[in-house]
Amino acid sequence: MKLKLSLLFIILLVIIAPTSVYAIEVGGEIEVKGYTVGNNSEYSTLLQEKLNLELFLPETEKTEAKFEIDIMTDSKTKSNNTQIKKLYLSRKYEEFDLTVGRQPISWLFGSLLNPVDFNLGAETIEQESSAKNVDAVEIYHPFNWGSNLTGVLSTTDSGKIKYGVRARTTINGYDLTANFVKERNDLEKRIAATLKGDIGTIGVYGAAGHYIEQNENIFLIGADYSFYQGIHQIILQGEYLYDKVGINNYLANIFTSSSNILTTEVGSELVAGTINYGIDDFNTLKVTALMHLEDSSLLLIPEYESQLVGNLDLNLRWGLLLGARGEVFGPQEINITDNSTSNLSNLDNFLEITLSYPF
Amino acid sequence: MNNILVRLILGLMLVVALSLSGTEIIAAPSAAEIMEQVDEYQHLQSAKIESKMIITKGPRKMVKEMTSYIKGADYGLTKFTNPRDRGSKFLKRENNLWMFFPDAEDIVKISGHMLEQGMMGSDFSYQDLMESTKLADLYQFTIIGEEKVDGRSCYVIEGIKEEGKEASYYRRKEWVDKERFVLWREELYARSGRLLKELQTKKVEQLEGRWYPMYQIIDNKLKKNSQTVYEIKKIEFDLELPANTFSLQRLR
Repeated sequence: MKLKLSLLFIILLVIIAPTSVYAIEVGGEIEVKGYTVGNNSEYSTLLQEKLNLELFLPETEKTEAKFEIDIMTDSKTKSNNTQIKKLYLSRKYEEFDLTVGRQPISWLFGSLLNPVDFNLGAETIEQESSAKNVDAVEIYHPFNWGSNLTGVLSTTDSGKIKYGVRARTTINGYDLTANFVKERNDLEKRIAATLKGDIGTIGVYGAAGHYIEQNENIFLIGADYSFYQGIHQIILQGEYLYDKVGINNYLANIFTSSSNILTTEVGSELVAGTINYGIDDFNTLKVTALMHLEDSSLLLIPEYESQLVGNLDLNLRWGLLLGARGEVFGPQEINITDNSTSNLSNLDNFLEITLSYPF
Repeated sequence: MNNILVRLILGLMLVVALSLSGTEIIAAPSAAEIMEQVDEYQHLQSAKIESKMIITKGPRKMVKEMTSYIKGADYGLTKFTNPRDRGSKFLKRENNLWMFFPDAEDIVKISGHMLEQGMMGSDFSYQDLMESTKLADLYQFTIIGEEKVDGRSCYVIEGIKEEGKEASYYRRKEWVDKERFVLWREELYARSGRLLKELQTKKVEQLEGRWYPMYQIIDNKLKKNSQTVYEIKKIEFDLELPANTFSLQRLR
């Protein structure tokens, strides 16, 4: 894999080199994260440092190349981990755009949980996950300003081929998509559709998917609304997810940071919601909640974001599993990282403190 | 002799009367005519703008840099270039807004209610920054006085939102330069009469035959110790934009 990526990078440089009369810029983010999980008597802490680097390579009218890398260290394993997030070449042809290489493949539609993404558990809109960055070939064909067709062929970690097609159009202000994915082995083939638009002043959206092999359905409906209370911008979003396929764990774990905290099987009906309260231009409070409808257990995540003096960003997240033992969002038993030997039972909360500096 | 003198006096009186009436027409255009001239200068048939927004609150400062393409009141494409927001893009087509998320590299349609929210945390809404609406189409204007602003003679004009029109503010008060037809000062009011925002133009430039505000300070009266500066670094008017400029393909 590393050899493939190195070769691709060399190819990119060769292609870009003739246009390198423009300067190559470097940008990214430095991040330090403290992550604590525990219960009333026992806690385990992980300190992680991350450098995100992106090269802004010169673009031509028709050709674009991207290179972005994450370099991480953590206090538990004392190891460095390098992850290439983007390494691709994109070329615009008369009829289509072609993108080849490591790239994010995300089929978002504005929901908190996305059960019909190309890669399940890929991300919520604002949060990152490496699951979406895959080695792939993407072809994008526009029909007009708002209608297009995208085809993706990617390789999974196990080297197997995964492919998908997404069509998109806009009708009367509604954004409509339909997609087909040949999924990972256990989930096989899926067809799905999404819709997003407005009813009056309220934003509404929905998604429905059908897993052909399992003959099971999944659907989601949601709404959002925003308003000002004096100077405070308030954004509300809520949704209901019905899942008979069993992908909720992929989705719910997005909210519990990078470690897979939820070891209990997440059930078939979830309600998710957020309240975003803008204290001022520089400070935001947010509360995210996930509720499992069958046992009424709750995952609650209060969050505070602040842009400090000197362009530093501070993010505090506190996750609380408020269910009883044995319930979906009840105390869990986990390993904190894959390489860690420490086990924690009765985990019922986690705290994440992140300081970052974009440059 | 007397006859000649009488004719001469009558002739002089006629000349004076005609010149006075002519002066009257030139010196006092109506509020609507003044605002149409302001629109003529400020309305962007099509344009490319490189701009910068600086939001400050006490010692904290947020800088947003962007490149925007605008076509009239309906179409806008904005790409952020500052480190924090680099690669974020917005497309506005009529009342529909789409956003490109650079990390996920995908497009999401943003709900309509967000159009009036502050763009990326600023005091300017998406509508303020991504469209070029003609004020004379939305408000009924009346001249209410004359004042000097920073040494420039200005008409003071009040605009009340016309019934049935969609405008962000119910009432606005404008200080319009008598010669350059730019707004040196603006006060924006809610229907309740409360002053919401005050905008001051600190620098104008004559570009391609029109005067255009290049540096403005907006003071949100509801926020304490907070201010947003909007600075245009470069602007090109009446561009021939490619047909697909305001498309989802260009947003990617």
